[in-house]
Amino acid sequence: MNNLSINNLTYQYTGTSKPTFKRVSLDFESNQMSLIYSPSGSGKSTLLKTIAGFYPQYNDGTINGVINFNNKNISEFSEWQLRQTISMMFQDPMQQFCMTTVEDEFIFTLENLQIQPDKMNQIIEDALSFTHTNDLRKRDFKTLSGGEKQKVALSIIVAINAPVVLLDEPFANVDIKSRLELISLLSQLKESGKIVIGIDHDLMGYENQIDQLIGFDEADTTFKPLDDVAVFKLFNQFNDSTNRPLTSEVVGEPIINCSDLSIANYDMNLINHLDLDLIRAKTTLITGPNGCGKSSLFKTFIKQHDFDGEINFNHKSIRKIRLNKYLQNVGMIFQESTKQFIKITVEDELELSKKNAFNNWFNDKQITEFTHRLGLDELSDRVIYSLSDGQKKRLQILSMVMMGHSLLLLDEPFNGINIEYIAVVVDLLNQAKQNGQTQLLISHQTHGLENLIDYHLAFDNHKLSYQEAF
Amino acid sequence: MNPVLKLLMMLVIALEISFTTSVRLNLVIFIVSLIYLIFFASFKRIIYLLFVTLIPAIGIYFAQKINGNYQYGILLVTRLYAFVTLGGTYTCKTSIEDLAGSLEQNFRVPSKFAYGVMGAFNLIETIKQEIIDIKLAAKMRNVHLSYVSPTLYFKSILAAMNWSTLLAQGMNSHLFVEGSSRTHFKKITIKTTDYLILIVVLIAIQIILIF
Repeated sequence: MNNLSINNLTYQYTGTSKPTFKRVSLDFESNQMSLIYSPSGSGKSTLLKTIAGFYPQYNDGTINGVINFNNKNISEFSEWQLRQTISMMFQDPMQQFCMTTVEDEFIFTLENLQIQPDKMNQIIEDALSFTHTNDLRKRDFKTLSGGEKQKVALSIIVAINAPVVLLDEPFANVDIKSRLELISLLSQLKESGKIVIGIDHDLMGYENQIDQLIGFDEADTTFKPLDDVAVFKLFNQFNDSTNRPLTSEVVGEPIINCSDLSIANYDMNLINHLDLDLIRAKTTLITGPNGCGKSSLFKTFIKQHDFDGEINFNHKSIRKIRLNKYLQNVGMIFQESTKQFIKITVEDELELSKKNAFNNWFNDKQITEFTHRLGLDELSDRVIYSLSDGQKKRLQILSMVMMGHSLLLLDEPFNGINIEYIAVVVDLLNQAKQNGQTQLLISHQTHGLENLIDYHLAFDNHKLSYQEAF
Repeated sequence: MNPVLKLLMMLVIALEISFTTSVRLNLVIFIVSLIYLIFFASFKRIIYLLFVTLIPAIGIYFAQKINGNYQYGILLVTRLYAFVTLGGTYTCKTSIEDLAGSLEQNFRVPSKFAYGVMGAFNLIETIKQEIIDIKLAAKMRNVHLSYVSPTLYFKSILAAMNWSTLLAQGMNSHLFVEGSSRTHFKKITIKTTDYLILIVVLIAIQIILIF
């Protein structure tokens, strides 16, 4: 029986006036899965990295308080001992892999663990079979989909076999099926005697699986376990809507028309001989399992991926439109926010969009209003790179929508955004749509999007077809 | 052959041909390397190496010919080809992983250095993609970055710094700790034949040079 206890933990980033969180006291035990659920920017990632011992090692900050594992202060552990006791799965698995293939990454990890070479093969096979991914063993990470990477990352955590497992938004890029599968794997992990602690901004699938739900108390800037009533309320909020009807009869003029379109990624066929119209001034949701080709389809639409067949944008083949000119009409909100930014401060970034907009759909008053509603006004002189993931995402969405592209592609724009801000983003997107913007949306998260989505396209068998619900 | 000894051999040969003026030696190295490449490298790669080198080779030759010194031109051209094919023989059979492994296991180079080099090497692709993405993101915002734009450099340096911290953290999360001992799945050894090859090749080169 192991236990991990946190006593009066306070963490403050250098250069900020207030601590991110203060006097956090929490207890975790073997055979227990805990979930930290709080708004983006409240510091749950920081809390997790502090527990794992990455902070303050990898960023300047000051830490106060004690973390005990089985009543021993972990600050007295050697680094190797600490990493062996507390393992962590990162939000972006690519940031955790330093070798090029799955097998090499396993070997690297097992060598660091000082495992004898003759035992490695068995450990790798066992760890991969835990997530049913043995066939990925020889694969290059570059050829894996987001969900496959996450499963491999989890397998490596299994191979490390540490008593404490921390997970930083482990399912951000995973579809519903894999999500439920991975959550049940975490339950198995917990039952094998581990302490499992995860953070997430989405409660889907966790009901009846977690033993402790921890929330953020704004007034005290601290993390606290929630009582049963609060937990019940939160889950109800998430479960209220399941199937929302839509029409599969699409009407209107197409902005994009694909004929006989085929897309492949490396040697894997993603889309085969597809004929499809995407309707102007509508929001179309695109869903499908991991690795089915949603992101590759978007890359194709911004001319960054090879394809066979034909794609017409406003009746003109996109092969014949110059990239510079094309990107004045077609914009994309990247999954990774930092890639989108050009300037250094929040204010400059928004100013740039205002000045360079291709279509001025928003007047100054509306921009100020949305800046305020997205909670960005108080951040205006902050350096973008110091913002939390959720804050970055909100800034990214606003600055891209302000540009006024006639077609906007949104790749998982709601990752890291909590439920209150989703409504604001929906308003913003609807306003752009009224001005004639067409929106294509990839999102696993569909809560709160009833007023936005007009059509739903689902991947099935290398094709996309319109659905009657989402 | 052991990757580090092989690298050492290549470096010595490269140094020697840089400071000597034997067309014969250059030709011998070129032919031997080419035969090696024909056996071990893909046809496409050989053509690529020979063809790309042709451009500077022609340039150098004619530049020297205009100066009236065509013999010197021939020397430089053969030297260039010797360098390129010699380098090709190294990269076609030796992986960066093996080099890092050998440095760590046989030559007691600290593992953080060996893996640091390898990590940085694996990052090159990532950084290239980052630069493409930065330019793409800028175009969508009506900003056109050329290769002289400070923004491009600022963003790519930022990306590289960010990735290097993340890489260190990632390695750390998979139990890589500075100064801590590790086991080795793939044992890299130095065989007696490796030393023999090294000595024989170097002696052979001296003989070609002298006679």
